[in-house]
This record gives sequence, structure tokens and C-alpha cells, in this order.
Amino acid sequence: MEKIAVEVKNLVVSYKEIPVLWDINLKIPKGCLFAIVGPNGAGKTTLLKAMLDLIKADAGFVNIDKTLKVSYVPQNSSVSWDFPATCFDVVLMGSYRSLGWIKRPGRKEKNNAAACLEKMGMLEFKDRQINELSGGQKQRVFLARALMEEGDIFFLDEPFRGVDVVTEKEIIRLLKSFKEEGKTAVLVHHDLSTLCEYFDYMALINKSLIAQGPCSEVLLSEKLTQAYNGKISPFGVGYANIASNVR
Amino acid sequence: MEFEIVLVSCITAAALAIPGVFLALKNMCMVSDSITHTVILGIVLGFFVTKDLSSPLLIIGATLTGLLTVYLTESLYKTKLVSEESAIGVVFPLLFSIAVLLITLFASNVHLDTDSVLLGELAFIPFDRLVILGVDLGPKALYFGLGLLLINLAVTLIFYKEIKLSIFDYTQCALYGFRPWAIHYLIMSMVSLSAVISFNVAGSILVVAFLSIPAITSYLICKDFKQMIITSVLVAVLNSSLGCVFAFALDVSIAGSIAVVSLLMFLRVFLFSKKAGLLMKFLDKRKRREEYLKSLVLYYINKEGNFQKACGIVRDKRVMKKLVKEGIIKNSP
Repeated sequence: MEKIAVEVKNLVVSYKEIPVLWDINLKIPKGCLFAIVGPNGAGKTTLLKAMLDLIKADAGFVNIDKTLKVSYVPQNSSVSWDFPATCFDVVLMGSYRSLGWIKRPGRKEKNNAAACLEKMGMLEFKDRQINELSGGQKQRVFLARALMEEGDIFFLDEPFRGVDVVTEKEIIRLLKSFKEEGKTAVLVHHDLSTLCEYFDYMALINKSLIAQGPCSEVLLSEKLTQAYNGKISPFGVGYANIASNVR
Repeated sequence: MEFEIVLVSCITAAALAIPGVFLALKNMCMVSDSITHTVILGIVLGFFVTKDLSSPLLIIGATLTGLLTVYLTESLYKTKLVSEESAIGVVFPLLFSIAVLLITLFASNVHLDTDSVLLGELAFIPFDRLVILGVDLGPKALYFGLGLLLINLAVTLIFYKEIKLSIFDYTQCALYGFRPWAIHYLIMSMVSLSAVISFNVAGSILVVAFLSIPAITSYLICKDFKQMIITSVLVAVLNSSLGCVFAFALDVSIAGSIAVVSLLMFLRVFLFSKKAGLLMKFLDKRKRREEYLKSLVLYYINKEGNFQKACGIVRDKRVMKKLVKEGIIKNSP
């Protein structure tokens, strides 16, 4: 039996008394790349946030292995973009958790921040204002900050949104290297055609959990139809792609 | 005496410039306007309890009312039924008018009128002196200002990292195990305390000017949080000293003069600063556009072999004329 990094049990989350997540039961194994997949409004981001206790649940619980340090890369919009901070500043803020209250980052943290920027190919933009970056560059900076946090489990909310193919591949390469180090990554993901290529396991949700397991199994089952049912052109071109990918 | 006024207004301005930066970055400048008015309710209530206008309890009461203002405004806004501005628009008049009613009902014979609290007068600073054992230690306002500056500096130095993170990324701040709401109220306490202590001296309008103008001025030129705080303090000191000097020379209201100088300083940066100035940006853009169009014209002259044809292709006639005027191209067929 594999070790479990995150266990979600009977989780119910609601907005204004309308449940957006219903009785979710989920197990995320340690050391894998895990995708949360579902149509728009299925509650993917909500699930991620509820896992991190950023949203209060009405029922159930989330158990993240106590020994794991959690890193979170939110969707672009959640920081104050007008804030006077350079890329370097933002990455350096990744050290704040391990520093705790009041203690300031020193030489060691600064060197580490530069190294993390370099790893994400952003060292040359070190002194650039964060709001002067393109979408992909911003995403790289926030990944560099996540690196800086030295987490064991990463939660990424649609990291590929507004990002070009090169950056997407690089992010995946980075995540795969995490996996080799025994780290876990949980992503909200949209693109069905790349699922099997990128991820080991997935959870298919649409308010409630439709299916979970290894990507290839979930994708081939009729569960996918169920999850996207009622939407316009549930699979579109994607389905042929998925099928060929899986084979 | 004049020196004392300059000194006190510079110190007060410097003290206010620090929380001002936090407010500006939180997009909450107008909350300061609200706080500077509603704290009077705290002063009134404190006065009813202590029956003494110089009691330190008044400062505590007023600071708490400032926090109450923030809390009510935010709670109202969080219902999502009203916008943030509307929430300010409801809470601020509510608390302020309660204070005014209380004063007129129960304290009309005391020297506690809205004018003295709202308009403050810098020129009176030297008259209210701190005398201990018969030794004159200077104006009281100086010590209030210094104390405030020290408190604001200390809080900023100690919690610099936490304040920075909480303003930049609230979620991450919570995730790292800091308490962003606690830091938020720490900042708001600074603002509130600063407003209470300094508006005795400066008056509510000038307090708003002290809080917001240096911050937004430095915001235009700074790329870094620390740099912005330092610049903001320097700008505040410069504005107040220049403002005082003008007021003495022209014999006008000191508060008014400082506010006008602050505004002029902001406009100077807004229009003419090399990096962010509107005018400089415009000129720079125009120059680059001209260079680009010139090269475009030259390209077409080269390609089509004559100036007239190039004129027909490139649309900007102004640049064409300029090229001829500068003698770069001869206007001949």
C-alpha cells in the first residue's frame, strides 16, 4: 500500500447554502503528480482551497500528512500587483515561513532566492517589477517562490493558464523532478489531452467526485461523459486525442 | 518659535508618512479620511468617562473608535451588498454625527467643539509647553510627535517582513502561519493612533494629506517597499519644512501651506519625474515614435526611390515635414 499524502473525507463546501462540493472522498498518494479535473464551475479551485483550509468546510475533514511542508501557487489574480516588489523580493518572501515571526532573511536566504530564480530561468529579470512581467514570467516567479519554500507537497491552481508551450513543458519538467525527489504535486488542470502525459493520478469532479485513480483508467471509463454531461460538446476534439494518447 | 513649529510639523509628518505607505498600498487612503473624523467619537466618549480633556484614556478611546470604523466598514463591505466606497460613506457620517450629537447635547459648555478637533492649528504649538519642575522642555506636541514617530518606526522595523507579506499576498501570509488579519489591525491601529495624536496639531484635513500624499508621491518613483517607506518619510519632511517656510513668508495658514506644497510636490513628480512623470513619458514616447517614423520614411524612400511616393505611403505628415525641416531629406521630386 502506498503512503497517502492527503486524505479528504466527506468534504462538503458551500457558497450561500448551496453546496459546491458534495461529499468528496479522495486519497492522494505520496510522490505522485495528481490532477484535479472537471468542467468549469465544478469546484476544482474550491477543492484545492478547502484542502489548504483557505475555505471553511461545512462537513468532513482534510488530512495532510503532518510531516509535509505545504506550498501553494494560486491563480494569477490573488496578489496585489501594484505592490512595489521586484521578482527577487517575491521569491525571497518564500523564505518567510521557515524564518517565522520577526526574523529577517539573511545572506543564505538571498543566495537561495537567486538560485531559485535561476532554476526557473528568471535570474535576468531579478530586478524587474512584478507587474511588468508577462503571464508566463509571473507564473515562473511564483514557482520560484514555491521552490524557495522548500515544500514537500505543492498545490498549483491552473499553472498553465496563459502560459506558452515552452513554459508549460518546463513547469512539467520541474514537477517531474520534484516527483523524483519523492515530493507530491496537486494541480488543477484543464487540458484533457495532456493529462496522461503529465500526471499519474487524477480526480474527476463535478460538484461531487465522479472518479479517481490512474489517469488512463479514469479517462477511458464512461465516467468522463458523466462529468461533462449536459455541457456543450463535452469532449469536442479532445476525446480522439485522449483516446490516442492512452493507447 | 518658528523653529519649533517646523520641527514639530516635520516630525509629525514623518511619523504619519510610514502608516501612510501601508494605507496607500492597501488602496485604503480614503479610510484615513474616515478615521480622522470618527475618532472624535472616541474622544467624546473618553471625555464622558474621565471628565478630563487631557487624559490619556482619550487617546486610547479614540484609537479604538478608529479601529471600530475600519471594522464596521469592512463588515459592511464583506456583505457584498454595498461597495467599499459606499461602506465608508455610511460608517463615517454615522459615527461622526453621533459624536456631534453627543457634543451638542451634553458637552456644549466644554471646550470640545468640532473646530478644535478637526482644524488643529500648527501656529499654537509653541504655546502648549511641557514644563516639569519648573523647567521648560519645549512644546508638548514635540513629545507627542516624537513618541508617535518612535512607535511607528519600531512597529515597522519589528514587523517589516510580516507587513510586507500581508499587504502583498494575504493568502500566502495566512498559509505561512502568520495572522494576516492581526497584521491588518496592527496597521490600522498605527493609522488610528497616528490620526488621534497628530490631529491635535495638524487637524484632520492635514492628517489625511500627511498620510496619503507623501506615500503616493513616493509610490510613483519607487520600485521597492523599503525604498518607498524611506522616500515617503523624506518627502513628508521636505513638504512640511517648505510649507512652513512659505507660510511664514506669506503669513498664511501653516496647515494650508503644507497641504499646497505637498500637492505641488506630488504634481512635480507626477508630471516631471524622469521615470514615472506623465509629461516625461509623453515626451519620451513622442521622441521614440518620431525616430521610428523617420526610419520608416527612409525605408520607403529607399524602396520606392523617391520622397513623394514615400509620402504617399507613410501617413504621419508631421514627421515628413520635420524631416524636410531638419534637412535630412530634400523636398524635391
